[in-house]
Amino acid sequence: MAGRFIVRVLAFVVLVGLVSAGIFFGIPNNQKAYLAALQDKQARLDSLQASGKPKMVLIGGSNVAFGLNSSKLEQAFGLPVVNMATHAGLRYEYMIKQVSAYPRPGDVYLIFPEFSQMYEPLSVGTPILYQSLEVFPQGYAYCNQDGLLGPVKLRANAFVEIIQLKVKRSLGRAMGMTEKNAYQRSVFDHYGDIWTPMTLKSRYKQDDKHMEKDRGTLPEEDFVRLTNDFAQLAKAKGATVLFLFPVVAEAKWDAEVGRVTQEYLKEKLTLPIVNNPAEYVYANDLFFDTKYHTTQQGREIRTDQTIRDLQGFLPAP
Amino acid sequence: MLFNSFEFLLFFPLVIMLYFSMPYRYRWVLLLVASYYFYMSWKPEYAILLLISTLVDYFAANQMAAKPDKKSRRPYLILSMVSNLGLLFSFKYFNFFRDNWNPLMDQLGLFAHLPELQVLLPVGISFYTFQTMSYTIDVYKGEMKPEKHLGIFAVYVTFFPQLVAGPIERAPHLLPQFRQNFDFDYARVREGLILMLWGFFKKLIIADRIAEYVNGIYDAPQVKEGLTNLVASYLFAFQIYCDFSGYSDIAVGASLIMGYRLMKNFERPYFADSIQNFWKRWHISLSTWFRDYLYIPLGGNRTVKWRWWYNLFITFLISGLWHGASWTFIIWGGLHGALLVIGLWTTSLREGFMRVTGLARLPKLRRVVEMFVVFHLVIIGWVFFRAENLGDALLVFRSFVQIRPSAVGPLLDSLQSFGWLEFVIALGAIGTMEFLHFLQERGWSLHQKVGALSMPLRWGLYLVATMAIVLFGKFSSQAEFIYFQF
Repeated sequence: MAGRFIVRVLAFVVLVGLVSAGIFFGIPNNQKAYLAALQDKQARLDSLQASGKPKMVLIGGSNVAFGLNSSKLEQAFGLPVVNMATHAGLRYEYMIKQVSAYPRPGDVYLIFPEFSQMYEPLSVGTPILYQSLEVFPQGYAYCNQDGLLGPVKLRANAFVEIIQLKVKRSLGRAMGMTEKNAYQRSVFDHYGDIWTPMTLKSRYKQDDKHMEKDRGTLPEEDFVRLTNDFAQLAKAKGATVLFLFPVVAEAKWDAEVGRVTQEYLKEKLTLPIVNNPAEYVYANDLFFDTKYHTTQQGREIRTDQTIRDLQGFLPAP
Repeated sequence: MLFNSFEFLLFFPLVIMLYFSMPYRYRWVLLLVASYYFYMSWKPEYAILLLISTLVDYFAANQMAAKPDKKSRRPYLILSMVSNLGLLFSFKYFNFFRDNWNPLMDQLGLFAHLPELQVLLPVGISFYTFQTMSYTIDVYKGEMKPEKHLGIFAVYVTFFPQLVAGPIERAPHLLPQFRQNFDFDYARVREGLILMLWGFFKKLIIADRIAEYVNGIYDAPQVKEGLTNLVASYLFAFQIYCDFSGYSDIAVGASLIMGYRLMKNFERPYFADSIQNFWKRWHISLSTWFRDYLYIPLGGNRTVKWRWWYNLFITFLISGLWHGASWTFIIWGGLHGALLVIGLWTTSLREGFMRVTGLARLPKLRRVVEMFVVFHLVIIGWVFFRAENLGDALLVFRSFVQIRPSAVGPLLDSLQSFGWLEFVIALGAIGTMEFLHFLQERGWSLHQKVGALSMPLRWGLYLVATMAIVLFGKFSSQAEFIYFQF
């Protein structure tokens, strides 16, 4: 009886697998999705690499995607810029691994992690990370796959997340639900910046109570290790790596958290810290929809301020 | 290890295969190893607490068995109580006590400050300490003989399906089952799998989906409109039910596959027509524990009226404290105690109201009205239960009474941020669940009905249910079960 049961269970598992595979392969990938911009950013990074000239690479979460004007940075420092940032949910490890093979003499890497990224353990995946693999499967190489089951777990989670995404997308379309206009591949320009159409006025509300850490805890050791290792690797290849704090809406700023984080990172990081986080706390109406996403006006203010801060660290063109 | 984790997906089938291919007499070894592995995959060092609880209670119970009367058994009962409650106090309540003690000392001008203990709350400590205490109390009262086999007793303490969030089993019910030889039984295994599937449906599709909305609102209720807070509070009622009863269903189903029948923990609580009835349907294993080991020893209802009400109130107050070391939980427990007392006190008044309004002649409508009232009273309690602190809870209530028509806009904004599709899926799943509950209230049995279907229909149903979980379950968040914190 047990043998018959096992056969039936296996047959059922195969059936579920077939239906799932049908969804996975049958529903096309959404090449217009926000995260599909990863392809464009990767292509620009590869093309700058192929040119053989030094480049400037911006790394971080959506605070960087929304919050910097790469053309101004390019003019200020005379280096072609690629903004690699899309979403903090991709995880810090992913972002660092993605650029690790690229440092060359004269390159500049600017890292602007969000506070949440400093405090999150490496091994935890996110829906965003898994969803990105639908449109950017090269990303598997940048994901955390630690542990005996790491690679299997990653692929299983990604598979489920992707088929869920495909079904929900199809259902949403069938029900006439449109995707948010700020979150599509087309909102990025050729640098990888979000060009922030003028229609995107501030609709930022105080959507959550805290900065991402509990008072008293410190940034993860893995965060420090990844940053220092990358800085060391880049330095060995003749590149410069600089660390910058992100911009934050004043409603969410916790001065004590900022101070503790800054002091801890000053002590632990082996690369220069360019800015003071307290000076990058902006008025709420300079933010579009979250505490990290600036409006176009906020972006320009931040870019100008960042250029001024960087001038002490980078030579003029 | 979480039931909704990738690891459990591998762990459980492996345990089941080994279990049924192993000689009966060694199964306890497998269950013990599997249970410790299950627990230690969270925080290995805390397995020592399980071991302490197991050894102390095993020793205490066996010593008690050798004593002729309660008086000579009492020191061993005290040893068990002190050990279990000591663990519970140290790891769960000490810092709460300290947080209240230190300001009190300041007020009195005394500086007898207590230090903060930097410890993590061990998962499931309230569950397994209560389970083992019930065992020693039963042995003390002479209601059962102690288990002589240390290994089997250790399995009783650590049995992995119910270790971290119950049901809180009783020794006379569960212990003898570990001596039974269960063969593979197709119908029983199917029943267990259906129950697990049902539990995953509730947890992954409903609870974890709603959690994203509710957490967003309750993290900052001060910046939300009353209507938004109200909708989040309604949704939390379903989140906590689906989270906890989902866990219980998976636990009961997983045990059943191996042959062990755990007690029922939930019986469609939102169909309750009185608060008393609610507690016969909600977390049954805990409410019966408190009934048998606290309420009845206090005198129960076999005493004068004021004392009876006092016994009820105190029992619920302590039950609130059991849930968490916070004033919000104590108030939640006290509120339920007070509602029960008020319910008893106003019995004739309410009957009179039913007669005057004519509802007494319309029993079905009367039940609907009573269910409606009870559901809303329960939601008032859930606000305290969910709020991060007392201030937030009061803020939520204040926002309820300030609801204006203009609050519709912010509510729609919050639902838009959550995602309309997510909201529609959540409502659809809640509707499906409550419809099934409605049928079950009318005597309908899910697994019997499914079992009676022809094979193609049955497989079709399994496939639809499984695909619904695969396609709409929240996996990547791997949210812990709410009751793990207790």
